[in-house]
Amino acid sequence: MSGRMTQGRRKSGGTDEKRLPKAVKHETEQLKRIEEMPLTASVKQNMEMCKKELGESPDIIYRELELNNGDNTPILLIYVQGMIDDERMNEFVIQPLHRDRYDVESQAQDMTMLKWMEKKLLATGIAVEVKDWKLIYQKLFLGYCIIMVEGVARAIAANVVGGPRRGIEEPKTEMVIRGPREGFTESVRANTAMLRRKIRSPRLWMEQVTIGDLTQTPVSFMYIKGLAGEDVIDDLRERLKSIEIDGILESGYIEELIGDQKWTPFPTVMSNERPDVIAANLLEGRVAVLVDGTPFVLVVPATLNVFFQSAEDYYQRFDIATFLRLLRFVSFFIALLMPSVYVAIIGYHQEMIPTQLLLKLAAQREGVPFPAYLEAFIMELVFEILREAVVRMPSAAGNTISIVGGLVIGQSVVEAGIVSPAVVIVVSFTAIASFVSPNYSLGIAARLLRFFLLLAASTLGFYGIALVTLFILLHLSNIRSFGVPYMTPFAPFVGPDLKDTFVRAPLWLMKERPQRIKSDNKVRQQVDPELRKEPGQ
Amino acid sequence: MIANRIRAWVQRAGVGGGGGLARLICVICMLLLLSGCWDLRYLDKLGVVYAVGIDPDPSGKQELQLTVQVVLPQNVASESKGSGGGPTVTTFTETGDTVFEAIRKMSTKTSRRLFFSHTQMLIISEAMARRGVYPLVDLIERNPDIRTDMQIALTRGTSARKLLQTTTQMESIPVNQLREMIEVNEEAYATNYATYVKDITRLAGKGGEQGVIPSLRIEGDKSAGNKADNITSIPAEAVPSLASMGVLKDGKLVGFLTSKQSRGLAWLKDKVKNTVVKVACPESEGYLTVEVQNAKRLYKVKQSGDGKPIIEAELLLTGGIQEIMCPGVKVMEESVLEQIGELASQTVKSEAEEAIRVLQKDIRSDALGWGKEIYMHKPSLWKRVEAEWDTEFSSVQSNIRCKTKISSSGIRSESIVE
Repeated sequence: MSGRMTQGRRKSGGTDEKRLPKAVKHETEQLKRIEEMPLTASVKQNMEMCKKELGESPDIIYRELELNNGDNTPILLIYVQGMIDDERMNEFVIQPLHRDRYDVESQAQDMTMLKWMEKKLLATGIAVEVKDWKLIYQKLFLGYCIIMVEGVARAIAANVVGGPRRGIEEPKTEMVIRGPREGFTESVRANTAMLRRKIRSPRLWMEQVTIGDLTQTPVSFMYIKGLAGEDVIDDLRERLKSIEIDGILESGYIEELIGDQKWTPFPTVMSNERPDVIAANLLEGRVAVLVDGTPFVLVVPATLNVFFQSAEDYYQRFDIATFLRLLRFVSFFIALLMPSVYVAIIGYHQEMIPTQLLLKLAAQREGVPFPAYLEAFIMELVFEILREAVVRMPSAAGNTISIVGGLVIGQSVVEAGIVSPAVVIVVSFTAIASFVSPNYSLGIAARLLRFFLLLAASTLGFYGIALVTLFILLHLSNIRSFGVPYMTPFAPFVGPDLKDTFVRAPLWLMKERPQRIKSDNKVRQQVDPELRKEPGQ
Repeated sequence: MIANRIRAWVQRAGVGGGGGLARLICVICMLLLLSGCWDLRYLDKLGVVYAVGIDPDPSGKQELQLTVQVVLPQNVASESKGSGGGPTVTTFTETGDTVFEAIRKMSTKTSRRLFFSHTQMLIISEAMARRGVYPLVDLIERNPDIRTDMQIALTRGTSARKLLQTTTQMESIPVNQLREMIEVNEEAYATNYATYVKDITRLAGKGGEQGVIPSLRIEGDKSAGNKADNITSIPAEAVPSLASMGVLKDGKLVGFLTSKQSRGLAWLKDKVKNTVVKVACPESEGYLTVEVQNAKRLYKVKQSGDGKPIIEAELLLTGGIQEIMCPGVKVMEESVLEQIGELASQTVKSEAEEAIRVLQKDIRSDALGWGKEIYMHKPSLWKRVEAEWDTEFSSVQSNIRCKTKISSSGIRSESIVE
């Protein structure tokens, strides 16, 4: 699907047009032609046109009615089966239209037929007048019902959106022991409502764009007016609008297309499926991007530090949270460095191990056919394969995999003397440490970089590790997320912000919002009187 | 960012095309592998040397005979699994005119490269030490791979080779037994204290302090020491044991102290951590034991009327009575404790004075570091005596004061002996 993507974030259409594949170009042109076509006043003609454009798809229902107003005015309802709520459709759209007799008096003379329908007849929450096919299709595939009336070259789109949706469940990622159990769903509207339920402030503002030439995916972004930096919002709006792609199926698309840095394993946009986490980030002055069709909501700007914060850090006592936070940082470094340090020590720096340990390791290495670095590399690879297999496996087969992986690879390989036990210990410990990271995307970055470090360690020892680590550090200092340096608050150093990094300071100490996320309002406690005002005052 | 720069560079260099960056990365990766790990050492291809022993060449043709004790890791590991897999160490012996020559000559006998980074101990035989220790430790100081914090010990009445070949019961690796023996003795009785190679090589500063090295001997049947039978009998037929401290002068061994004198030296060098002092009971036959738990030595340097240095040492001890083997000691009375403290002080003082006497009159070596004390306390005085320090040392007057505070008498009050 991504192969048919037109290039994202395109600035000027002229030069890039030539580089588009032919099929896409054709498609786009056809779409444009339809959209530009006007509605006719004839219901029959409109239906024919629509049927032709939509290829007689059987799930698109054309319901023809006649209004009992004496003239028997033909009416056409168009909707997509499955995307509407049938009951609501019957009750609030068809029934009002289908009444035995209309009191013609009530049809005020100064109102057009369409206005009369919209204002007096239809009982749905949203009913808007639409004039062109582009808007009609957009509404139609959102689950609206399109109502056309003979003799009027316009239509009404009535909201009867429905159909099966997944309910609110406990999120599968970033589970907490203490904290709210709800997670986002695939519906963007339900998700924005969930955030509204957390932050009941008129200052919680939302904007919406539709992205994807074919998928027409609604993408909303939310922020707290007066907290989020205006330049971040403008920047985000700009970036979202410049996306030109055929489809958005998950927020990952957006993440990749709006990220500052294209060449980095580190995530510059945070994603999370917990409303409480997103709400907390909004309160710190960040902006949330909600994409229809995925429970994963994006947050910008995201600095490295954010990926070490877990929701539970703030629900537990600060001392415990600090301990866990430190543990997470340590685990990250273990996940990143342990195999390479092992290989470097075994291959180059034997003098650095305590003597007793050296003897144990040397004894284990007796008779192992592979050099240590190859051994570590193979085992790391095997583990990654195992992990990938378990993730993609149907859950019924998961047990088999863990038995095969754990017993066969962990034990038999060692007993057969093909791999030394120390490597198995190192690899498994690394694996466990890499699961500690609360944010999956940072864990993946560590997984990837581990192999580079391993390569460097096996050729250059500690020197190689130092080189690659330095390179990573340089890279980290070089990237930005929506104008905010990624390593904030370490580099650039922002002293007050360190309260929520390696440690999680008590809440009564964190009186200010993080300074470097370009927030326009810093004070967190002793709420600023500005915030109490109604917007627009 | 950097990738972009590389790509720009690639394009400028004319490699061009979309595959340019990928190609460049490939080349870099290959270069990494081609560099070839020049100092990669496989752990399982190393012979870990645990101890080095130096004797004079018995044939007399060459300067020295070097013995290394190499660990056999496979046997160390199998031992913990419970199956006896042969000796945990083995030794190799080779002669040479220099230490390094002898080490490299051993490659005619070893299947693995000898690895000295984990060497725990350097054992120098008495005869070799009399010829001079400094030339033997130069390699250890100079070579970046060898640690200078390895212990150094002398042999007494045996050769370093014999000592390294003796099997031990408490530790499966013999050197561990030797090394830890010295440490345990230092911490519990203080008749010997550990000396490291770096201590010997770093004495060359102002003050002319002389080194002291603990010594080891073999008790029992020396010829049986290297057999596995040695450790299957109870007790072992040959047991390495600690003797006393040997004193160097200008890097050459000049004499040994007795155990008592060694402890006297330890008091004055502030090396005592914990020890026991035996004291005759004040009013009856028999002895009681004072355990010294804390000892502190303070030096003062004074000048006599004729411009000679006088060393004043103060020993402050804290201890407890741990054993009373005589009747009539009323430890519940403060005055009795004070009396016992006084008696212990006298014993300690006499030990220290005996050590001073031997070092000044018999051995004539400033192993006490008094030269350094004078240099530090009274530099002007040191300037005057520096040239003649060798002879001057013997006539330096000293004044030892000792105070012992008895802080406890154990968990029993009166003695059971009546």
